[in-house]
Amino acid sequence: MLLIVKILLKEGRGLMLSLKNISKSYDGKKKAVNNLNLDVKEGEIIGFIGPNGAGKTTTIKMIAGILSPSQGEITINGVDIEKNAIRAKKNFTFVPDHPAIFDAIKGIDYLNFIADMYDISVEDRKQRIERYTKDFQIYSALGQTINSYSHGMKQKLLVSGALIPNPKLFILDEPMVGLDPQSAKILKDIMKEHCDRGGTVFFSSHVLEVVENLCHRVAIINRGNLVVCDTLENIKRNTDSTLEQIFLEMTKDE
Amino acid sequence: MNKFISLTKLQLKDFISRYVSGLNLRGGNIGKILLIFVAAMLLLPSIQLSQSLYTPVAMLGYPQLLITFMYIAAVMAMLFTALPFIISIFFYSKDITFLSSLPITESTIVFSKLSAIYIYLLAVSGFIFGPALAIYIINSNGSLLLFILGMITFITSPILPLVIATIIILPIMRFISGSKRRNLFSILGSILLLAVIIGLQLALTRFQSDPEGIQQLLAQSDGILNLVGKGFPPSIWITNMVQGSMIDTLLFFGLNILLILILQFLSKVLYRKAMLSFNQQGSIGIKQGSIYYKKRSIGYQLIRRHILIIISNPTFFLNTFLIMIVPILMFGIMYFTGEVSLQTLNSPLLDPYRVFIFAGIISSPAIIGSNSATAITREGKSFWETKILPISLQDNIKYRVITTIMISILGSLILAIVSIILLNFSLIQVLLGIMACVSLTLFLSTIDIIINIYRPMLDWTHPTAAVKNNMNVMISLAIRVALGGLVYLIAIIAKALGSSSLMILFSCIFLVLFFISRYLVYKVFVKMFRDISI
Repeated sequence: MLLIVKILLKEGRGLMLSLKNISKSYDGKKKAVNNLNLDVKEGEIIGFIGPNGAGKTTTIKMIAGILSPSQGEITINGVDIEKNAIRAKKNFTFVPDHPAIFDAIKGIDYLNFIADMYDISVEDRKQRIERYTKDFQIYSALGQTINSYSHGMKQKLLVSGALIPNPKLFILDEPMVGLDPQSAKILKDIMKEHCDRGGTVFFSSHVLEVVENLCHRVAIINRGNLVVCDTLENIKRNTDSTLEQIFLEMTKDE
Repeated sequence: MNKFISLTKLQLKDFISRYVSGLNLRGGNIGKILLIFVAAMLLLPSIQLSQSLYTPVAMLGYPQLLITFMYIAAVMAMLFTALPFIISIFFYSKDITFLSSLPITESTIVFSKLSAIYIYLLAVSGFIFGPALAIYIINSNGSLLLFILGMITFITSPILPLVIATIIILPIMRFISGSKRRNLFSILGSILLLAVIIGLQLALTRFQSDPEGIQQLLAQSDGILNLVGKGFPPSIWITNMVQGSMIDTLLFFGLNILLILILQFLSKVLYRKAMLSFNQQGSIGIKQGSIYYKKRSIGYQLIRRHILIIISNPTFFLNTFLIMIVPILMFGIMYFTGEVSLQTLNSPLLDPYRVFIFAGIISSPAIIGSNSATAITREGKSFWETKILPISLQDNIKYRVITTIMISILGSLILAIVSIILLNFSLIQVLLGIMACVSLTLFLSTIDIIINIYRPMLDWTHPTAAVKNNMNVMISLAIRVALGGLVYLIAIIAKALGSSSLMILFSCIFLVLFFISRYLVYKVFVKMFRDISI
């Protein structure tokens, strides 16, 4: 993994995501995210882990432009999301932790909606919709209204929708929740494939095994502070511990 | 019993906290002043009605009739308020899956849910029955006993309409299976309800403006109390209860207890079959549509999304599209009850006002419907979807406003066609009316979105909370009242200008207000829109 990062850096690949001194407070007092700094290079898969309430979703929502940071600067592919939101948003797509979408429309309506928002041609959208929805085995349900879908089907629809624009940065919050093992495997393969094609993946998860097997680097957040962001090899250096043991050690109550 | 109390506490806390957050007094004093203003606006006509009713009945020696009449009025209002509320809270509520998994009886769930509606109805009673009780007690040089009896009467007043409404709804909903029929039933029921409410209001207005009729009714040999009582005996019991009659107290409470027992029996039988069946996704026939790939503009997709959000939900649909038929319904009811006729409306005496009448009729969709005030709220938790899209914040707001404008203009168009056919307006009147209507629609649709940006309220459990029990709508109505006052003032001051010039003046004022509100939305409040958190 370290080798891959070194190669990426050597190749001079640009920064896909940069968080500089990011803080977020909902009440003006307590900081949900505190002075967070993080850089993600093109072609990387970054796993973002932390205990419940650590600030993962808040951070991801700030990256996705759903929340504004109280302090700091977020750039996506060199574009500041606060200053030039549209240009920044053209570089990424986002899958939230809970598939709360407007569900009175058909699955295909939703996918066409997303494709129109990112100006995807009819040929490209047809090819990508068919590919991803067939992979996730929801193609035959696309003509049904989303409110008839199960939780997992909605999640698969959201992931498929987020892949249609072929984003440079693919952001996912707890993507494995609600997915059956087969679909989880497909998603992992898609994430790898996306990365192989030069895309970048940034995702949060509680499933440490997935993070361990999939990511080039792992970022651990606890109580709003970034504890570590490094390759698994560096994090594990000089210890025989598993990621789980390291995670528990780094995030334990003092 | 402990489970019932815990669940009821939870339901009440949830309801009250959501309602308080719905009122959203984060604006500090301004918010509180607005709330008091709106409450006063609702309470004053009721106090006035009770007072004007008390005087003649007291003169005839039957002051207690005030209690009878206003109790009946309150029961009617509570009954019609409860019907859609019960449908919403039972059949469209998001917590039903959670509740149905708890180890509690069906009746516990039913009664705990009803407790939230009871609180709401008590507030409705407070606006109608409350002033009547207060006026009666004050004028009777009220003793402590009278006050206590009055309080008991007031507190128990929602039970009867609440139980009756539930008993009506549960069996009906049992037979309306399937999503589409449920929605259709809700829409048809609500249209009927709208017609009944308007009819009642018109009847009440006519009754109030006819003191001779009231006196004639009172002079009848049987006495009005018994006359009314024949149709609705609880009104006699509650009237006599306030006066200290033990038998009537027993009768009233006996009836309430009996109805509650019936409800408890029914809840056990019907809960699983009605409430649960409506929340089982599998029970709804899944229709398979075709798969297509078609490119459309961003504007088209966003407007379509906002329209679909409205029409896919009966509560939203009623509060946007169907509210437009209120003027037609009002006219229909008034026409068939003989209140107005086409001859009256086409009378030469009304000529100077005809342009105002036309403008008023066609502008009513924009005035009555406060669609922009809930345009963000309606999206609920799916609001994040448009927030992450590569569209500007201005466009995100703009297409919500455009959707409101399109819906309002559609309503105006229908009303314009109907009124032109029926009322023979001249071309100049039509043009002036359209000018005023368009400028007013632009202004109101834009200013209302500011309210929603300021108070987005995305976290709601049932759709009624999003659009009906939403303070945003009240604030938007307050804006309309203030605007109406301004228009009236200008009409008085600049009366000499004549109706046509006045209409042009009003249109110009609305346009100026539109440009000011547009500037505020897209330059000032856009930052607040960006910061709406989900």
